[in-house]
Amino acid sequence: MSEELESNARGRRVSPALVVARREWVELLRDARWVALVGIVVALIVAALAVGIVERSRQTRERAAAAEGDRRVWTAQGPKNPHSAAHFGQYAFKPIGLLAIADPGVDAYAGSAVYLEAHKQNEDRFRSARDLGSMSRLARLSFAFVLQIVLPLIAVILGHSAYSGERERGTLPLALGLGADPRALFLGKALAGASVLLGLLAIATAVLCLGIAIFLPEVELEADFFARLAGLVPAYAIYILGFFGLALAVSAAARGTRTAFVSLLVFWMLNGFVAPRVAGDIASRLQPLPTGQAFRDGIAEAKRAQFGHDEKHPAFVAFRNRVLAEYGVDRVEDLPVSFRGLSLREDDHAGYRIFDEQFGRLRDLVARQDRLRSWAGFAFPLLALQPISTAMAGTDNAHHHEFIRSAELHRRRIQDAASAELMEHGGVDGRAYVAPASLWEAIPSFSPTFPDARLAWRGRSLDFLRLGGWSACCWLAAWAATIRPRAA
Amino acid sequence: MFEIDAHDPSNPSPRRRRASVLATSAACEWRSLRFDLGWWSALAASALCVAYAVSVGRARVEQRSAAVAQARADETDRLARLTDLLRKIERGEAPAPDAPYRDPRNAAYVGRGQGAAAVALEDLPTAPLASGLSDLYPQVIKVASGPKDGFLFTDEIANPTRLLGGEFDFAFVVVFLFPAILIALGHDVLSAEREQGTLAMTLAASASLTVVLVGKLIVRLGGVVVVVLGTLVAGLAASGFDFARGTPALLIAAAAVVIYAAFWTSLILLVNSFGLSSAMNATSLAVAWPALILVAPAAISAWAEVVHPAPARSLMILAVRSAAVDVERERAAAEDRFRDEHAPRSDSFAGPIADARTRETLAVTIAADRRADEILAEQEEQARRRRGLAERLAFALPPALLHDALEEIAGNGRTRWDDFLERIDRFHGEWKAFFFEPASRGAALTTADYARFPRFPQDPASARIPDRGLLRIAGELFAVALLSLLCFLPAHLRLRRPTPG
Repeated sequence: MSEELESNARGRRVSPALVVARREWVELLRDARWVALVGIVVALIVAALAVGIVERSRQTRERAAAAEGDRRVWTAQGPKNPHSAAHFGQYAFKPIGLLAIADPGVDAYAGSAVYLEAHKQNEDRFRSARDLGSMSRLARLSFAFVLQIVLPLIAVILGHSAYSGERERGTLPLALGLGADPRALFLGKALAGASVLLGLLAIATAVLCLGIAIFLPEVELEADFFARLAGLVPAYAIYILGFFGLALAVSAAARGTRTAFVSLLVFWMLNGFVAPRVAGDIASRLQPLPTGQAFRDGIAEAKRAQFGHDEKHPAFVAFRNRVLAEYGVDRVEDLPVSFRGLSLREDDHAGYRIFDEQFGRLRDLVARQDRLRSWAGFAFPLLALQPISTAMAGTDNAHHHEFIRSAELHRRRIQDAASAELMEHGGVDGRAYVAPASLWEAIPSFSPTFPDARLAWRGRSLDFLRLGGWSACCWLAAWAATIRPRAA
Repeated sequence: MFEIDAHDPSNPSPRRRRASVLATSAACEWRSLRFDLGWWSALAASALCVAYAVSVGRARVEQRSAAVAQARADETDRLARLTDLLRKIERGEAPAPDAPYRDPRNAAYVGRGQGAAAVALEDLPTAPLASGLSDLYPQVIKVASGPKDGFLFTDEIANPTRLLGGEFDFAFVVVFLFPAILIALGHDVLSAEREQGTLAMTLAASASLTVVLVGKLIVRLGGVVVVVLGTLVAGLAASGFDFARGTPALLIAAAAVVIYAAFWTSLILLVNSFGLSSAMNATSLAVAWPALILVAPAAISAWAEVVHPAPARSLMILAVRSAAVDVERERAAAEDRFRDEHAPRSDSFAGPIADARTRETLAVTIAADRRADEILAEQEEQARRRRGLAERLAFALPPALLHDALEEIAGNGRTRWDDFLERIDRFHGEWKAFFFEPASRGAALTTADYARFPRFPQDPASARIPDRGLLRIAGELFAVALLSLLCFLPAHLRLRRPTPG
């Protein structure tokens, strides 16, 4: 190998590292098993894309139809009291981001719809995971699955025998004995392996873009898509390259191929399967979430201070007295606006504060759990990669909370519109007032806008730092181990 | 090493001879392994994983019990408050509330929300083994007389990231980690002998190579099985396991682990029988592991998802809402309901407890409920078809079969949840009948009626794995055993003509 390396370097003025890389490529190409393995990975990528596109198209179609149907139902109410219509409410269906094709993230485990009704902010409902069956808990075919789990395994298989295999065959001591530069060897092997892995990532990215362009022609690839892709692809590149760096380091330092392989497999399993579960468990023990009952009890307790529809409630009496004083009148009948509408609006606004506080606390707890979970990303890179991947795909908790927030804002718009209509036209009591059916047309339905890429990038710097730090450490370890590789 | 003379008259039968070879081989393996740090480390790692999994499972069960207790306390409190108010109204000590939805005599409203029954699926003693469906369904379902979609699809509060990541339960340890440990320990059971040059010596003896290897694997891998099961029993015992009720299920779980270990052992033997190097064996098995545990289930799940898409729950929402609008439009009930909810008591509400308006509201509930029932039945059928396809395709996948079997053994599998949901369906019917009948007559609920509220039947059969579940477990374990045999037989045939290398 050394002679070939030197002559190539001298004769053709080719970098020795490139010679080594070329030799590695040729070996890989000649190995039918490698060709088959790469073929299987590409097939998995294509299959994952197909499933992603089919699923997203179906869900988007269903939710659009449901939103249209809900609009029909809402506008079909006929003449009705506005507050009665607010009780009937609307449904908000969660929008699906384009890159959910690549990483479905938490979408199946978070509700897909929220019922928007008077007086209360409801929790999201309809987790599709319930309908998926227990087998999907073992693994779910997606781009993210292939890139997060399968590609690192390929990196391990590719790199584990890079040094240990040559040492066992006796070619490494021979090459080093003949004066081959260990740095050139390292760079060549790194270049060869990295190019294979980055090539697979490039194929995955190209398949993703082509798949969207061909099968989702109604979707325009805008700047937001590329801003998200600009976070997604480098993160995966850093992750996969880190694994290959680790494989080279372990291969150079280990006693033999078997030890290197077993050690790398153990790490692969810890990273892919054990760490996410243990980190999730620790996070939920340190920052436990309330049970549904406790959460609803908390809201009910806070709402006891509100008057709701109880006209004997001290808060109601106090509010009525305040309004009368503000308007300088003695009776609600003398008010220039409907007191009924005013009291409903007052009660709603008091409720908004309670919901903001209670749901805000819950959202903060979930965010704290997620942050705790990703702390171990310095050691187990999947824990740093997953938040980046799901954020860029728009399928993380932050995007879900944004949907909940915008749905709640829409609910408040409905409540405020109903109360305003009552205040203006409701008369003294307001209960007898019947608004024309045209009012329901005037109150819009929930029109979901998918958050832009800024939300995806917000707070991701630490995850990138953890991921980049881990990857850099792996490559430094590889460099250190290969500069003076074990000869035996 | 195995010098057994076939012509020795003291060696009467091939069966006894095989037993002797097996014992000798196992004894030799034990002598070599007892100083092997790697083997002891693997055993320690197995014990640690199982102990942690049991503690995670125990914590989940305790959390669930606490949530159920909270919901039951809430139910008791609600009913006590209603009964107390009703008693005062009956005695004339308190005026009737000015809104029907606060009136404890109003059957339509009490049945619809205030009196809702808190229903929970009781955990089996083996529940810590697998979370199964328990984290996807609410811990407590509040059955009320409204449409079923109103209470069946209320989700428990959970971090979706945690649900996505899954739980570190015993099922995870056995399905995912256990085979990896078996592969790490057993992948070179034959190839190492060849590489060390001891295979020729073994072959020189008249002993069957299969028997020799099985003897080695019994010690090498059987040790892991013993540690896994021993730690499981010790962990459960330490956390107060009810052995009187849980022993049969625990024995089935132990059998499942042994059969699963037999499958991976057979696969290891099969790979070894090809005469490849230890490195190649390790690579092949390392590829087989994710292929069987991850890729194949993911592919099957994806195929089922494409062929039978998940039911569109949004359709059910729409149907229920359309039914409400239809009835409201027909009978102008919307305005009446509003008045019922917001107006002070009027003359029309002074007589029988449910006036025309309440009955009309009731009509909306009944129509919406009927529509929801129809759609839910269709959607459940659709979901069943999807699961059926996935299960048929998974019949050659031991990890998927074992995962499902352990979920069933833990009482958190599909059959027990389906059984529970069917019971809820029947109870919902009973509940509706109880409240709709007086509501439609306009009759008032009395304190005596409160004492007769339907209670969710505590079927003793629900405190164990349902018969359908047992059949399913038996079928799954039989399939895994069959697949083990299918791996073992070609391995045995190949090992009859081994290459010394």
